[in-house]
Amino acid sequence: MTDKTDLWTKVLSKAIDIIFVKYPTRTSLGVILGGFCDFFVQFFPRRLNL
Amino acid sequence: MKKSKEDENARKSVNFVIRIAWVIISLLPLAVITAILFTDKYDNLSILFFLIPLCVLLSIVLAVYTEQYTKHIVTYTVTKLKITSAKELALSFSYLRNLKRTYLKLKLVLFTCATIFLSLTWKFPQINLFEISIILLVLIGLLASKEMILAYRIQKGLFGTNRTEARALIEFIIKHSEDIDFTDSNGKLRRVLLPEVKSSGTEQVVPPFGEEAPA
Repeated sequence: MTDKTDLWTKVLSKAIDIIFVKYPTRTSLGVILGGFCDFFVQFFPRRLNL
Repeated sequence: MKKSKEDENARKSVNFVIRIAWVIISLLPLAVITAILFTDKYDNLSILFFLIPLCVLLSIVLAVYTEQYTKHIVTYTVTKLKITSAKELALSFSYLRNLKRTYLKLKLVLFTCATIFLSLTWKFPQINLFEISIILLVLIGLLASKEMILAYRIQKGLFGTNRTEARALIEFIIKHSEDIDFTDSNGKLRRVLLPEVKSSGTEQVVPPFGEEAPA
C-alpha cells in the first residue's frame, strides 16, 4: 500500500514539477509577463502593424 | 538565555508586521486598478471602500488558513509519533513550512493578476485575456496540490526517498543554515527526515537521532 502511495504521489509531484519547469515562481511570473505582453499586443494592434 | 528569548519575540513581531505590510501593499494596487477600471460604471470611492477590506480579509484568511494547516500537520505528527515537542520534528517540516510561505505569496500574486486580467477583459471587450486568467487560477490549484502532496509525503515518511527531493532538502538546509535550529529541546540533533510509516497497524517508535530503529 505504501509503495503504491509512494509511486502515485511521486508521479504527481514530478508531473507538477514538469508543468512548472522545476521553478514555480519563475514560471508563474513568466506566465503573468506573457499575459501583460498579450494585453499590450491586443491593445495597440495598429501601432504594431498587426 | 533571556536575551535570546527576547530577541526571538522581537523577531517574531517584526516578521508579523512585515507580513501584514506585505499583504496590504501587494493588494492595494489590485484595489486601485480595479477601481479605475470600474470608474465609468460605479462610483470610484465606493468600489475602493468595498474592495480594499475584501482583499485584506481574503489575504488574512489565506494566511491564517496556511498557518493553521501547517500547525495541524505538526500537531498531528507530534501526537502520532509520541514526540514531546515540535522541536523534535524532522527538518523536512521546516522545509514544508518555508515552501508554504513562499507559495502563499506566489498564490496571492497569481490571484491578483488573474483578477486584473479578468477586469481588463471585462473593461475592453475587444481584448480577450480570459484564457490567461484561467491558466493563472489553474496554476494556483497546482501549487495547492503540490503543497498537499508534499505534506502527505512528509507525514508518511516518504519524502526524501528520491534524488529530486533529497537535493531540494539539502539545498534548503544549506541556504537557511543560519535560521534553522538544528538541535531539539533535549540538546540533541534534530533528525532530517521522518521514518516511513508502515501500514501494519502497530505503534511506531521513533529512535533518537543517530540510533538504529528497532527491527
